[in-house]
Amino acid sequence: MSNVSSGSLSVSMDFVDSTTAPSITRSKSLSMAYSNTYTSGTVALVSGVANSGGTTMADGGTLNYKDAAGNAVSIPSNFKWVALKVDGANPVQAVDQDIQACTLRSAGGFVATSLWGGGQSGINVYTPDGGTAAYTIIFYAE
Amino acid sequence: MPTIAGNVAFALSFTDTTATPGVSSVNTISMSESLSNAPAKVAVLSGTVGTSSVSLAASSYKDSDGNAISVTGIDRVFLVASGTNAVSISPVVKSDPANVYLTSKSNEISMSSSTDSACSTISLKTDAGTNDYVVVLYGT
Repeated sequence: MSNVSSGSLSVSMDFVDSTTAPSITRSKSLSMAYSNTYTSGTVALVSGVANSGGTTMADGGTLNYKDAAGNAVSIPSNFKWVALKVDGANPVQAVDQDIQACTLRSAGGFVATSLWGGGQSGINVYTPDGGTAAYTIIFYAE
Repeated sequence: MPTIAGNVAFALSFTDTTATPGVSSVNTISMSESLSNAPAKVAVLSGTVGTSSVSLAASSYKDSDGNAISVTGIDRVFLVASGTNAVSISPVVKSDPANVYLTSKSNEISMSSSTDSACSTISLKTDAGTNDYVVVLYGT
């Protein structure tokens, strides 16, 4: 099991809406920002290639990642949030297998992230539009 | 003609350590995104929601001035809820495989990609009590 000694998460977005007319420019801005730091918990990572048939990673399943001690890491059963990144053009979705209360979708280098409800029994990863795509998922549990 | 410029930034980093007598091992896990986007339209929805689902149709979308706006092709969805009760967002058309479900509380921002028709109407509710939320959608 991975032992987190320090960690940080930050998400921000901003949009500026500008209108230009002769001799005048009017702009409106819209922004959101969030950041948090962590001093303990469990972090786990899985990466692979998703396909249309899907791959299910069950709670407790061994990931293709080893912690700093060289031990295989399992998906924590109480993970708090998940981040998914897909670099290819084909979208990848990650769906929780229990209550299906959370679906993340990513493509083209975009990161999708969300709090993830408790009690989930695992995650299914697939390409809803077909094809294959390389993905990385990071789990964090307090 | 109005123009919209946008930026989305995401960064996480974790240090995973193990110490044994005479040896300290460290792993670092990081993930980041820093993309500049030029969405055609940005819509903002905000309010207070409880445990009963509230549906927000595309006709209720507002721009940052509060004027009605038509967003039919949604590229990304952001959700932030301020209080401690979790707020979840889901599309009304639940059978669409491109559905997006997000959850937020305590000011954590959740975000995901989306597609057009599946999210033309979205639904919000809390797991308990009430909470204030802000949803930002952008697309065309």
